[in-house]
Amino acid sequence: MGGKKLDNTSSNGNGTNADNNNSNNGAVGANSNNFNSNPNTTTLKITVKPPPATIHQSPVINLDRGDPSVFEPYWKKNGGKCTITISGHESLSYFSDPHSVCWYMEPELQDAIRRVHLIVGNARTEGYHVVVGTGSTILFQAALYALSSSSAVVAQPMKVVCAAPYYSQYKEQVELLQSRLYEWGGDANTYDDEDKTAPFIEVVTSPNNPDGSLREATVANKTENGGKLIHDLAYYWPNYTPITRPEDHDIMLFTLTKCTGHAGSRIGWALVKDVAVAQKMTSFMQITTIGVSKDSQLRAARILQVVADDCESKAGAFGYGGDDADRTFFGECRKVMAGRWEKLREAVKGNDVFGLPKYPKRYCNFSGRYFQPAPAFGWLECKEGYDASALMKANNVLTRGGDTFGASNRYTRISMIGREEEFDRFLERISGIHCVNEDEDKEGEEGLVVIHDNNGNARRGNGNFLHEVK
Amino acid sequence: MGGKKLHNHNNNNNGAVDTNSNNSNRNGTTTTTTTVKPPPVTLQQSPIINLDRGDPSVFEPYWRKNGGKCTITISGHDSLSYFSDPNSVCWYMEPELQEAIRRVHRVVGNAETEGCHVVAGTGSTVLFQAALYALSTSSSSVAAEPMKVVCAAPYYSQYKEQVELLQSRLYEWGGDAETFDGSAAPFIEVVTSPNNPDGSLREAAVANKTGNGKLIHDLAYYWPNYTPITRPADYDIMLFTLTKCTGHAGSRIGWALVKDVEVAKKMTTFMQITTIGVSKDSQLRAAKILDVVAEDCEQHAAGAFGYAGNDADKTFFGESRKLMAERWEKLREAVKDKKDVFTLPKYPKRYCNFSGRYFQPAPDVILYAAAFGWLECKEGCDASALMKAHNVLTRGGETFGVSSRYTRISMIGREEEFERFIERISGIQCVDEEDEEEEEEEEGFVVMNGNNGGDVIRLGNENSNSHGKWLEQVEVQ
Repeated sequence: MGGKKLDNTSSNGNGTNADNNNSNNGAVGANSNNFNSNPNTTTLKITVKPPPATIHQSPVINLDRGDPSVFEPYWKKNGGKCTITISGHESLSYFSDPHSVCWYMEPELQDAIRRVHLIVGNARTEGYHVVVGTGSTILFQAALYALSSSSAVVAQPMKVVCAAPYYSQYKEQVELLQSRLYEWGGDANTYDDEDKTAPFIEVVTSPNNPDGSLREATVANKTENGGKLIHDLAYYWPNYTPITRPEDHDIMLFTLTKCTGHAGSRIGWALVKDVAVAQKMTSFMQITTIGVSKDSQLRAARILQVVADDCESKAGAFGYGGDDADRTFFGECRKVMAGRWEKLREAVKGNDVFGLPKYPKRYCNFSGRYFQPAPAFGWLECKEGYDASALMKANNVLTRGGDTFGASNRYTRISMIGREEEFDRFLERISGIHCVNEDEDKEGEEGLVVIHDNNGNARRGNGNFLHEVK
Repeated sequence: MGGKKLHNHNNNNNGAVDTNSNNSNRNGTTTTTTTVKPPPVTLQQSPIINLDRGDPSVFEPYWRKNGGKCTITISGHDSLSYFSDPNSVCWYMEPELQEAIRRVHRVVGNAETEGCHVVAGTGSTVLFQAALYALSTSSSSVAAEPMKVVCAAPYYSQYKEQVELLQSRLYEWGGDAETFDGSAAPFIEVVTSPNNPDGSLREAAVANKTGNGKLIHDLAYYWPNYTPITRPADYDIMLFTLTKCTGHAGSRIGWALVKDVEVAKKMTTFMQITTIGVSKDSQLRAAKILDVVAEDCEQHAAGAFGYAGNDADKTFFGESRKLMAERWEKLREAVKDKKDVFTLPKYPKRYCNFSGRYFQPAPDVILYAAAFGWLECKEGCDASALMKAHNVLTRGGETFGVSSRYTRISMIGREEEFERFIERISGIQCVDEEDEEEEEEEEGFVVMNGNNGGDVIRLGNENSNSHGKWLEQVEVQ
């Protein structure tokens, strides 16, 4: 479970799984800790000290969603350059660019997109068509439509698969209107089409949401007829992850939300190789929303140009030296993200309750240095037997549990890109979660106890979060 | 066909085979002819006039003059978050936009907002789809079969496309509401008023007859620049769009007024899953524009409670209406002498509460001027093909569920383009029946209805290569 991991560091010959996570992304790991669900063992006990009763008077810390407030301080300081003014007579028309496949796309935005990819080096744009969307969410749906409604007559809905843990929203989006064109096919790792000829769609998210791993297609490359691929590269920017090479896939989705933090503008774009696919995606956008807000397109163009200017002004003749890259928008944000990850790792270091993925350092072409990825989300693992999001909830922290990502619910996803104050409060809160040694466990305390019996069943002890232990 | 009409807006029942209104009919009479002179050969080199789409360029001159008040500035640190208003069902909606929407409806009097939830969308198109989703997934509509979606013909050409886009199992297109049997199962009826394409004011055709129909009212054109405001609309789901209200199509802002909170929640969920909300930049811009418009209207109000005729004329709506009315006058003038070929809908004069509240000694009664012209050609003629032969692009009747002898022309495009169109259509000449014999040698276009009402016989010179493409597409109905 978890998709094939990439490992470009040549020094490591250990295979793919060990580097990125110490827990195989939710697979029942038998070796990584001293708790397992092997039915042959006798009872085990894990005890976590209950949170103080006052916890529910503390403010709720909401780390469930990916609102990118982490970038706000940067933009408060530097946002002036991005200021745009829109007068009453501007942007009246539906139409923007009659020469483009994507006729509602403002030329300035297309230019800015191509420019920023060129500078950052995270995707090829030569030979690609650009299609703009109200965020990348709808472009994902446009791509599903384009790939499933091609002239090839298909009797069955096309399966849409993604290697678990997968972004929780894909399934929702696929199933929203119960389309006959496509349907959710679940975990790509376990996808097994019997006749091996049915076309399908594989979604590859890299870096992955929720666990930050870099990924390749899991199954699309293995089948004869080959799955169609959609690459969601929302987080493939140097503020989160090293840029190892320019990506070069058939359909690549990006969003301003995760690139610069401007979620409210609702701007995303797709780089599409096949003109027929680009045309179909544009049709989809036409029928659903007759294009995309021009106000936002112009704003996004300005923001991306400012970011591109900033990067270029700090570069040497052919790229960046480490310090210069650090002073760019991406560099500064990366430092903030790295700082947060350090603090998070520090906060969970001492206790036996939590685990976090490990990410190897990689060389980033943009930054000109090696660094460790600092993903937008923390994929928090709890020792087996715990329902992680319920444990968090008992401590008044809202997170998104592993089951929505097709993984075990001993994982939960926490946002690393929220407000600074909220993140600090979270660190404090999680630091306060302690294990109790087995010998110290006193029956009289309100302990939270999970007991596995010989058949692998969990029996409940105290504590709400144990209700959902799977 | 055509939906229940309120006040006889058309003299030809919108495409129904009408036996009285013209001298060509299908009831076994002998042949009749209509002849249109072929366009000059040079016409194909003339620029194409595209009146197919509803790009609202007509408002541009107004906004060039007055747009300064609507200027907004967006800084780099604005609108970072997904979230706008945790207290609202529609959590991504900026409070300023909601207030401006409620204000402008109050000032114009075209919709009752009290007790309604507001849901914002990237245009009203996506809100239509959100409403379909909300109505077809409600707990009361547990259905094995997809819910039928119907609309009285001629209906907006895009509804069917939108319904069928993803071949949903939740709902499917059911066609013309007038011929739909609503007694069998729950269904959704879409009522567009004023209607696109023919500008008529409408009520539900079938939903009121059975208990099964859910209603979606698309009121995109129910503004005093196009139509008299006779009363505040007061329906379960009412869709509006900035595009047609003020002309700012590029901002992609629409809104729904929704009575039922559960429906509003579901529509919000739909918007969340498809686009995680709506551009804040555009929401703030739309709020500014609507506030400026509302302010402008309130300023021109004569008394404490309303408007007098001349003052209403000075508002954005009043000025736009005058523009539209002028265009309609020119169009009617241009086809006046071509009654054998073209017919336009007639709209009765109605009292407009918005304009009439600017009260003069005599009540102000205004002509209204729909955003689209619903051009009817004589039977046997494919209207959009006729237009195309004259290098004018229009949208033919079949896409609206009716005969191809209708075609829809945009009345809201650029002034220069509209003027060119008037010139072009003025140049279309009819040939009298008595002259017909002399015309045989000319490259005439002749359409003859056969005795059985179904056959079309093309005549003309064998050598003429200008038979006219539109005759190829004449439907044998």
